[in-house]
Amino acid sequence: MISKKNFLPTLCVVYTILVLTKLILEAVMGHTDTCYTQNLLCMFVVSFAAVSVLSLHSFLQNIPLLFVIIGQYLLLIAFVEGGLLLISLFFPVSPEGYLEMFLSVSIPYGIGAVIYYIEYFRQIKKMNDLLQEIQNRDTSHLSDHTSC
Amino acid sequence: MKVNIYKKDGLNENYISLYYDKIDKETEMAKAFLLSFQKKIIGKDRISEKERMILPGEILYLEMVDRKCFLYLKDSEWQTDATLQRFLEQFENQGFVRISKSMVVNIFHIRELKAEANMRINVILKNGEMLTVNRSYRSSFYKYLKQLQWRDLK
Repeated sequence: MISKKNFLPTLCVVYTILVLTKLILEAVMGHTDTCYTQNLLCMFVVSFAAVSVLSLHSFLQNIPLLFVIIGQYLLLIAFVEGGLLLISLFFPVSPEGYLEMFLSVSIPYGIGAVIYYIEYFRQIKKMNDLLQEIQNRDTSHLSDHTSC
Repeated sequence: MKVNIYKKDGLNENYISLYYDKIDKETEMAKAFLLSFQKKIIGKDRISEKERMILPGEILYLEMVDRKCFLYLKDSEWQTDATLQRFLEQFENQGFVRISKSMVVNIFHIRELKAEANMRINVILKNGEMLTVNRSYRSSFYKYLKQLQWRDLK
């Protein structure tokens, strides 16, 4: 869960992953970014927005999670596309820019949500295993003793 | 009755376990004597106002309702003056963990955990009752289980 304590580290990790992904994809596809600085800054703004939106999770405990995930996604998309619209008033934005930004946010968000769900179910299984081990542990000390 | 005493280095807390096949008079007396060392809490029946000493191991879960703390045993419920926080300070190392703002469960009475689609965890007790671990308590619940796992293995 993103809290005040881990907000900055989470933001740094998210931004680093996004930048590394961008660099690797560019190297693999042989693409040269002509708006390098602007795109890096844009990625930072998107990372900040995403982490901020996801940190609202703690206030939404009583709302079904699916609604929270969809609501946060819509809020993030609205922020990003709205920001792009604002930027287009001052700087030129390519026609495909809106679609590319939509995909740039949706794909990682979707992957992240799937990973989050998988990790959740995996953790439940681990917890059940731990419970079994703890509850059965009463007899475990018999095989490990020194009599006195 | 045979008595074996073992020295085991590095234990966080000394413990005594009693093994029996059929409980006879001698075993019953040994059990009663050993149980007298355990910390107990006072429970009060809501209707008859009768008081009773309750062993922590008998408690399935605790719940705060209208600022009152209730202990739920297998077939009865009792009220106590303790708050959840005070209870946990004394009995946390005996398997009690908070699962929501108003509920504490005894993990030794849990049969299994089930995942819910909205990321909450359903706790199925051995008597069939179902409780819910709030989403914000999921990590601390998991951490608690891991701590208990390693407690006596150090």
